[in-house]
Amino acid sequence: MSIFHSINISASGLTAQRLRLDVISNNIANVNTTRTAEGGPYRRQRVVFRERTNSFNDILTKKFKGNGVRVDRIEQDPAPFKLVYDPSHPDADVNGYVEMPNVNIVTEMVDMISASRSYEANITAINTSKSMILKTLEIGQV
Amino acid sequence: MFNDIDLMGRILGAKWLRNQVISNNIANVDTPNYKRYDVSFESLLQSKLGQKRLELKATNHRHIRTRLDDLTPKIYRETGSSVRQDGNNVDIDKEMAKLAENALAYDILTEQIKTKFKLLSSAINEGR
Repeated sequence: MSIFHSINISASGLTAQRLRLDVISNNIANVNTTRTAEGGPYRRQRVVFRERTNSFNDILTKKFKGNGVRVDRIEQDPAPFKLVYDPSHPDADVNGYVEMPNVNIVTEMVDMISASRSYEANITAINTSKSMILKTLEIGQV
Repeated sequence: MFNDIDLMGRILGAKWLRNQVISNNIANVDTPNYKRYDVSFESLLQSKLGQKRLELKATNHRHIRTRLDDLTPKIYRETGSSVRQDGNNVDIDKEMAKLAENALAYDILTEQIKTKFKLLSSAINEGR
């Protein structure tokens, strides 16, 4: 546990939130994608976070158990696709319905704001740690 | 001579640990089933400062203990509650407030330690 441990913790939060933002951007970009490599329309993806556990040595020496956050997995949303009536669409079925991705643009926007706010919270934590370290260095200057 | 500086150093250590713990809570604000950590120190300090006499509890006969010896911060986990549907109990507003409060207390303590050292240096130099 070094002096920069708290900055590392917050940096792990920054990395995780940035990946979440990347995934949300990907969802928004693919809001109308009907063809994917797996076949069928695009499925919405979401990020699942997990507490980062620490090394065996830290557990052995009973050090502080917090180690930040990491991305556990990126999972696909199992929600059904939206059916849109558009007979002129090349992927329309015999009845004229097209399966569109299960991405809800409003949900994505809300998630995006939430991720961006969490990112800012981690930046504030980094700045606080930084100012505390600088304050500590001032003790030596008499 | 350095007793009070030693005490303030210990408090600084506890505040620093709390900064780490709060940073960890903030990093895990979106983690499902995460339960927040906290540091208990101030109540222990209060009880220690309230003691009038030196306590001499020793595990080894060669140990002479001062009352500050087992004044170490303890980390605990709040497992009983959750503020959201996903089982997470980090309230981001509360954490940010605690972060700011903790940093301010840290700044005050460093100022106090600086002043102590200045006083000592002034005494050593006969006030010159």
